[in-house]
Amino acid sequence: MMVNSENSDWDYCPSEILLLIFKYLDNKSLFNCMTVNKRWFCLVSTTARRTGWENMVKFGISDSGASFRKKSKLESRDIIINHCLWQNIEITSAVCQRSYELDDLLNINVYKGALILVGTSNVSYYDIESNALFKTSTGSYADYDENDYMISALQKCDYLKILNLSPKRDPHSYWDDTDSQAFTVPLYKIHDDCCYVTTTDRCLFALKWTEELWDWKLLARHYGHGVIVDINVYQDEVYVMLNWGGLLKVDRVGLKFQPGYCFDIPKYSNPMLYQKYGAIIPVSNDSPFKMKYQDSEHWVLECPGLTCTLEHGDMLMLGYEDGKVEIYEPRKMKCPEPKPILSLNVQQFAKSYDTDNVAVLKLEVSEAELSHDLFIATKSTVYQIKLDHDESIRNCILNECK
Amino acid sequence: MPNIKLQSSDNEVFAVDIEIAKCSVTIKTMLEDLGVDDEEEEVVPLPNVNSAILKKVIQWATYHKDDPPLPEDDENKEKRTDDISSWDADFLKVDQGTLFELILAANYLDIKGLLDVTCKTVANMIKGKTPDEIRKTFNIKNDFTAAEEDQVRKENEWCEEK
Repeated sequence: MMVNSENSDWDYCPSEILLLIFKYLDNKSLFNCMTVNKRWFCLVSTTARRTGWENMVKFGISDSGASFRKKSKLESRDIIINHCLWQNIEITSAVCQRSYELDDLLNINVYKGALILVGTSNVSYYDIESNALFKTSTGSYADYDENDYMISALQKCDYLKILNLSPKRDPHSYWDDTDSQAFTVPLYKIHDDCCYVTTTDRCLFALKWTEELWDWKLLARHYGHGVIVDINVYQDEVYVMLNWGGLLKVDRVGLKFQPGYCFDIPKYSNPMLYQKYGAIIPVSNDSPFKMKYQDSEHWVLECPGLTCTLEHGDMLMLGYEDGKVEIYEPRKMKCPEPKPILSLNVQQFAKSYDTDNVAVLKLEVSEAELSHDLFIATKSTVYQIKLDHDESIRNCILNECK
Repeated sequence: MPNIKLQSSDNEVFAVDIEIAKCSVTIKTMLEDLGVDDEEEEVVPLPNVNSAILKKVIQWATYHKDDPPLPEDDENKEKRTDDISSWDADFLKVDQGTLFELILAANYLDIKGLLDVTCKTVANMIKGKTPDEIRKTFNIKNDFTAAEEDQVRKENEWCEEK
């Protein structure tokens, strides 16, 4: 009981007092406490059992929409544990479990434990756990559930038909001209059951599949200079990034964009947005990899040879033209040359060395029980990599949680 | 008003108004169990609280002696932490060791009001911090991995340079 005031040690704080303190914390803070040490992990678990794991996932993890919660079939509790693994425990093995060959690959998506490969002529569905092909489709999407439909329809440019279904079309719509650029694959972001899409480079729409028709509404139109190059949903607010570094936030009441922040980056550098704090820009191959803090919370990450990014929960994954994939925890990036928590290259898994085809075009992740499945799409191959943690640490976490 | 004598772990004796002392449920129960007559001047030993902390506790209890009883906790209600009175906020502007000991004392003496306000203060210190910052603030060791710790140390070094 007697504690020297010079080195008070919260390691010895009675559990009932820590539990009392945790009662005053919101879910985001609770999640942060969970990753402090094993004992706190255990105590926060006790609190979460009372307040509900569902809330913890919803409010504790920054990006908890479709990009995290709906990718796997795991229970909320296991999603939280997996997220603690990402943030705290070293990944000790990365093994290629299988690869999918597809000549006309357009896109890949992960949704509720299924890997969806979208090709120009058909869409294939694989169960990630068993690797079994369970559904293929050749263009009729009538039997898809909402997000399946959304993903395939958007990817195959059917959005034009979708939006034409609505009688209340915006009179100033750019789509009246059917020869216009509207036929290119639109920029979109799916969050929960809503899809945010820019069909031209200046308008942002929200699409929702309601029973048998698409409900859509215009969220905002950008009148200033620059084009929208990325969309992100962070803590229930929708943000768009402009090609010159401007960050705009959707004002849902005023149906307009309001200025959010201005990242100091070269014009036309096509930044990718992380949460609402980071701009990730591809730079030429002879430039260094560099983290630049603009102020205490905003940053610009310059990545030579960058081809794609993925925000997964609080993690950030980067894909490069030479087949390299890096995983970062952005909170630990507060230094000029941050180190990834994992770095690998698809060339180590490729059957034949072919520099034309190793560029990483899309990354996806699905959560498995105490491990993660990373999908790396190149021009004609998708690699499924199992990321695993040291068994003793994994067991340790499991024991703490009981 | 009759007084009661409270003896700290380091044997310092404090004379306190008995009504103020009774804000501690532990002391109140002790007096009731012992059947102490208000007329007598008893010495109550508190072997878990040192004189510096006991002094603070008495100061807090004296200021709050006329407070209405606290409502029962509602489990479903979200707990606020922004309702700490300015007097309490000033009172709790102490080093972390003292704050920690005040929590332990409030818990041992069963003084709900003091326990609530000290826990709230700690909760406010946790809010908005990353796990690394929480560990640093409370001097807690990360036992997830050893490698992790080195990483944290390196980052902190860099932050300090900045």
